[in-house]
Amino acid sequence: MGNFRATIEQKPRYVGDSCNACRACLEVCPVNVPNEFDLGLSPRHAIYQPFSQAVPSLFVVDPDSCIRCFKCVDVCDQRSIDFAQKPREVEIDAGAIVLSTGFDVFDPTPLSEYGYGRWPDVVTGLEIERLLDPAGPTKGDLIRPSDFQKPKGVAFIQCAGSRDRDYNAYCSGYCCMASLKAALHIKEKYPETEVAIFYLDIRTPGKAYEEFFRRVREAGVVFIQGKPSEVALGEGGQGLVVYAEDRNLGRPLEWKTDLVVLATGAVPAAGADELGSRLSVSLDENGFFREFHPKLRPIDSPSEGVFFAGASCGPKDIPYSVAQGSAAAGRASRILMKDSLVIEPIVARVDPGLCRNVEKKCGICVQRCPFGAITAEPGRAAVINPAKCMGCGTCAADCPTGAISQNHFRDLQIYAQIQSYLREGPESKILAFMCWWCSYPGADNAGVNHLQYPAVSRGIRVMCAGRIKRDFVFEAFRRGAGMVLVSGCHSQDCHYLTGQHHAERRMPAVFSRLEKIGLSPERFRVEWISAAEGAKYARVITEMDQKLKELGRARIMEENAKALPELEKRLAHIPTISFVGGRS
Amino acid sequence: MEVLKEFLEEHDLPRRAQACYQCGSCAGGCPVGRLRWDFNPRRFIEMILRGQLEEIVKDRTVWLCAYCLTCLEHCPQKIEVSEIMVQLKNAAARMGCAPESEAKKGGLIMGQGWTDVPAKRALKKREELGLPNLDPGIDPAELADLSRTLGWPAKMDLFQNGGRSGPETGPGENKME
Repeated sequence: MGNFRATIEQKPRYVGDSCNACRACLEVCPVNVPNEFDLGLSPRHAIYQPFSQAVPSLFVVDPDSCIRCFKCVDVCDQRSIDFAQKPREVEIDAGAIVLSTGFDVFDPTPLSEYGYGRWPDVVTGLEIERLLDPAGPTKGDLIRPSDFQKPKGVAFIQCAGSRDRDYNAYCSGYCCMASLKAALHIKEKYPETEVAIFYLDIRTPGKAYEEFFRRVREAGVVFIQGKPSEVALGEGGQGLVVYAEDRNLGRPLEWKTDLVVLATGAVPAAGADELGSRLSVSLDENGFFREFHPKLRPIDSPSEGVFFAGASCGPKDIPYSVAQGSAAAGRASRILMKDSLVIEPIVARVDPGLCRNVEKKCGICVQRCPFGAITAEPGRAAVINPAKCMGCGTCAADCPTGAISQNHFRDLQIYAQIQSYLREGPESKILAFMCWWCSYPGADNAGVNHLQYPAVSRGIRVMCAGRIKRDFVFEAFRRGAGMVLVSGCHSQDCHYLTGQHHAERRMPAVFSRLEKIGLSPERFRVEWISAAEGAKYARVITEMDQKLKELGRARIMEENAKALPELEKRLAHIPTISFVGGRS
Repeated sequence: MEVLKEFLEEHDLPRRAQACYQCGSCAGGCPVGRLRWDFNPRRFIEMILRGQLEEIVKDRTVWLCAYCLTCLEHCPQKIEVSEIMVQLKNAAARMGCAPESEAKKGGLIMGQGWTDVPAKRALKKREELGLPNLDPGIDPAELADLSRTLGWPAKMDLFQNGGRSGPETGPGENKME
């Protein structure tokens, strides 16, 4: 955080800043290649302006298509064209990074049933946008690409490749509004055109979007509910036919039209994954960047000082992207405006003298950390960057040599709590380990709602269930606990991304070990309890207390006595902590 | 109805259909549906989800499914629509709701290894064209064996339970002769 170095390569423009965009070079350039901005629907020269409102308003030379005839150099009054320009690298020291890598548009060619790439009159939503743009290849005249005639009918197919488990399982969100806008545009400009929208659901949850949807209906656009199965050429190769089920009428439909628009969604930007991996930012199941928390921290990445804007972490429309961009700038300036940063003290620390990585390759802690805060170079002790550590303690729980400890949640501090709670009548008590964000507030929720449960539970609060190591449970039983509960967030809600997962992974071995040493496995329970699940907490404690009574005090004490030698052997390194001022 | 409920559970049917969001791409692509509007695979999926089982087995249009797999290909939620249609046919058969023609087909397959006896005209045409004779090539004894292994007689009983008597063809009988 606050200490990034970025190397940026600036490609040569081959045109100097003195260019005044007089367009004289365009007259002489003999090269014609497809114009990327118009998605290949129009040509451009080798010297060109990327798009009409490009800032700065300078021309550029595309070195790949330029044939080096230098006619442009001859006609340029400003002497701006300079083929000697070289790529340049700029290094920037940055205090924060905003990842705004945007998105790519889904290529619908694999959707062979819709014929994109096979029938010229099947276009994408972005292509119709160019065809309707007054500054676009047709100056805003709507044509169908096959014969440049004005189409009599236009059919939009929503969710082309979206909400589809073969392609993109998610909804991109913006395509409904984009198609509604294009449909209204066509209907207003050419009222005689028959415009139809085939849809699964029309999703218009934004501000004033539903009203816009109504406007489009009132303009006479036909809405047909049903996902088309096929687009085919019409009779005699004339026009197109959309095959679908008209769901509202419950019958198959053959819809004749001239132009089909596929409303294609967003896919992650090419290359964004590589950039993310350099910053310890992982991807979600769809390949977009994963936020720290999808609801509560949607701007932050798990890497401190790295933020998201726009579609880099999921498809977004314009207002949402603008809002997120502003928020990211705000989050970043929170770091940049300060001379020094105050961090939480609960970070983990490595005792280099104990770290196994010095002797042989270990690196377990590096794998455990979802925030990329730990590095372990060969032959050297692991190092934790306190500015990046979020303080979950998962590394401390899984360190094989006990070299890692978490401030304020050191092993000895937790053992002291265990021993303290179990000093009197331990066999009738339930010792509960709880995480900070879900399970402890869950227990709190039971109290706030006045839910009744037996007053036998004693809670030990850690930051994350990932901090709870097996020895905590064994120590509780050594000290005679009747029951032990390990609780944490539900896996998808873990506030430290993967801590709960590691807790869940560790615990099954505890059951089998307990059984082996003669303790009833029913005396140990693992439950995931959210902050809203007070009722669940009360139920779990009630059930555990019932079990405790069923087993009976005598049996529990007998089991404990039987298991004690084994536990003493395993936990010999844990001292009995003396209490100052405790009850005798 | 208990039999049917059991059958659907046995084939995990409500669950296998649950991801359906009723987009209609199965019905829109269905070649049978283009000819017969009353045949609609999407509707059957919805009926399974709503538990309208009795209506499904009584609906004779189930039997129009040609098992061409177009729906399977189109489904964006990867629901095996065509497989579900087969199970619906089986369920209807178990309830004795199979049309007589279907029962007849089953009997013919196990009786002679064919569903259709080639027309005399077709046989003559083959002879004219110099094509080889159509020989079923199935040994009646072997067929009877197969029939027993598959528990065919019991299955035929199911067909006949609903009061629609199947063909008289018993296992092993060769109708070709």
